[in-house]
Amino acid sequence: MAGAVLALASLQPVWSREPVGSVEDIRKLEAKIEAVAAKAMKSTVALISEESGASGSGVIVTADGLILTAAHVIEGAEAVTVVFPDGKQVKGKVLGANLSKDIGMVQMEDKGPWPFMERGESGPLEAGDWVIAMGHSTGFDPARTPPVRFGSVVSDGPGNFLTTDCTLIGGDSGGPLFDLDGKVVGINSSIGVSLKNNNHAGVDGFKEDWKRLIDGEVWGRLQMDPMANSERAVMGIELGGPVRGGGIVIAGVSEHASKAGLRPNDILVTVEGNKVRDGRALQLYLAKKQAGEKVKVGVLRGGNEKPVELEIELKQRNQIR
Amino acid sequence: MKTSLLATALHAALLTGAYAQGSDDVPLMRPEEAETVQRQAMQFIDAVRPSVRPVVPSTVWVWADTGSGKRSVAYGTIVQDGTKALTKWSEIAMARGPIQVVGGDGATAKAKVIGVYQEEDLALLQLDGAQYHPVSFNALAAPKLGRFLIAASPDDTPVSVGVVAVEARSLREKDQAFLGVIANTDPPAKGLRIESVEDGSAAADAGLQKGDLILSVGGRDVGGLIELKSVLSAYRPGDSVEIRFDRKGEEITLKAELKERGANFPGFPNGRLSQMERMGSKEKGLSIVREGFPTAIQTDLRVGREQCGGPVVDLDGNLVGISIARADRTRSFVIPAKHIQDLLSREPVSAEVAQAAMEEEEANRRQQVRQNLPPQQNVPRAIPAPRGAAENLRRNLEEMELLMERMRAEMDGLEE
Repeated sequence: MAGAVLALASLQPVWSREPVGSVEDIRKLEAKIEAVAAKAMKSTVALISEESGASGSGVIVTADGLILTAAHVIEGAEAVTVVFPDGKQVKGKVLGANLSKDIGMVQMEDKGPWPFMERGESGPLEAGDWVIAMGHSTGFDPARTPPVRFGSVVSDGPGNFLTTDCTLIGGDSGGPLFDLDGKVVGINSSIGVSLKNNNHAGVDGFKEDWKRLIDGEVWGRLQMDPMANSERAVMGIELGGPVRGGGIVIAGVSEHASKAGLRPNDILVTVEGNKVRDGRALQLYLAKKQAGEKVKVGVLRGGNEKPVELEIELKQRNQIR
Repeated sequence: MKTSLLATALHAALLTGAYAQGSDDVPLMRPEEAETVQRQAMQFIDAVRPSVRPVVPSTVWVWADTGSGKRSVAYGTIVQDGTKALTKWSEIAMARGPIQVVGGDGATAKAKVIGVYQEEDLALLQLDGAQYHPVSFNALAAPKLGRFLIAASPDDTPVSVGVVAVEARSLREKDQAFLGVIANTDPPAKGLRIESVEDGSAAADAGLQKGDLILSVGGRDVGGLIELKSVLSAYRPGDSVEIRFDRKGEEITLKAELKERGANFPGFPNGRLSQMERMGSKEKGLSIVREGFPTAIQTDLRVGREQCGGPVVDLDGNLVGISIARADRTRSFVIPAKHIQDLLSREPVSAEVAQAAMEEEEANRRQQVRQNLPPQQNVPRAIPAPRGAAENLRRNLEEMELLMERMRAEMDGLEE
């Protein structure tokens, strides 16, 4: 059994992620996890809303006390109590939140300096990347430090979100997801039934919305169905019926898609070289993409296949006429 | 629901041109992602195989009939001279008929419970019919935060790999020290104003009064209830702690001897009871007894309920402890090796005594459940994404969108 597994593994391309081929590899991994956990402990705070008594988590990312958290942790609150793992309580002011991305910010009133963790990038993360999740599971507990969980990315997307097998539970919301260098790459957001289904908002989302969040703007809609998310990326085409032999009729195009070269009644046959069977498959594919990414598609027009490259964009900006 | 999920996986496979099996664990997981994750998990398990090897011969299956036919209900850890094993007591307490242990090599022995360590929920078994290899207690220092833990199984393939999520601590209610004051829970301020002092509490004995402003406890400033609780978490009942407070402008320092939670104080009177509360709820795969241990390492190891009782090692193959409970989605507990070693030098109670205690606890629990339950702590849940619901909602929305588009198109046609 083990032999078969090894043989299979050796046929695969060389690992681009941190390797785990031997105990030595795993020791190196362990040293990194240990270092991240020890450092992150001081910056992983609980956020308690005085109005509701609800308790979530957050992570300090600047010396002057800016905290990143999940939008749903601070939704409706103007002030929160920030609680450090050693029990220290300080006041925090709620800044902005983008509910569609489930990201939000809190600023501690006292400017510190506070222990903080640097921000990394979530864009490059993909299945197999090792990550460490922390948070005040089931609410702040004075008898315990925020639990450390180790795992890997199991799926990137939809949109700015990513899924890991670091098991989360209520109270972890808003807590940090770190890479092995201790950089914040995500914010704990939601869970599914499976232990593998733990969803985090990618930290890149903050970069895009930074100013609005700092300015205290609250917008978007909390939506766990990626297909209904107003910030999901679309091609800007209206889908018609499927065509026998493969492809979908393009029933309508947005101005943006029209500029890229798509026309009504074109038949969409390929995306990134793969055949398109129906609209659902296409939407699933696009759910993984983020606005601004370029996609190569093939369309049939007048019997000839024509390649078109278009940039996918936000659904909300994209009105089909 | 099942079919729609399968359909999702199939579509993904078609679009990407890969035909590997998709995963319905994570609705949007691509087949190549599933493959990467699975391959990585297998590689990881292979890499740590040598680490568990020293304890595989000390790991056994414990077979018993606990109401659903004879099956393996827990793992056991071989100790002492090789004819004794420790296993999870609550999983075999209700066993009808004989208990057996089976090693990875198939060696089978009859087992008899010769004693129970109740607080640890561990039963000591006398084995008859085979000799096994006992675990050795080498490195007894409790592992640090973030260290890898590997749960062994009798058959060479580890059960799970996890990390130390929280270093060893007591989960016993009676180890929690209380001062016995009710104070304001306003946002952090300078000092903590006492609203009332519980009769017979440490605070009452020490002479604290309503209206006193607590400034520091044990030398640490306190400005909120959470800060007070956190300071007290470092103490045990019986410990003496210095309290500095302000009474009508006068600063006073005194010593208070901390106590257990008082009978009238909010919360459960008995920690073990509160955890037994959920006994009937049949949360799949969770241990019946999963709280209240005198010392336990919290970990994200995915040890199933029927895999508790086996050894847990570090990467060097040293025994870290025995897995004692699967507590919930994120938590498993491990009783540290040092504690196990100390335990074995102590006299356990007899199976009969433990059995009677368990039945009494169960009776108490039933009564407790009938009485009104205290309100649940208000904790925000991570919003679970119900799989089927999302799938349905998505399809409905798509259909509605299409319908709207068509209607709009028709309206446009009418206008022109």
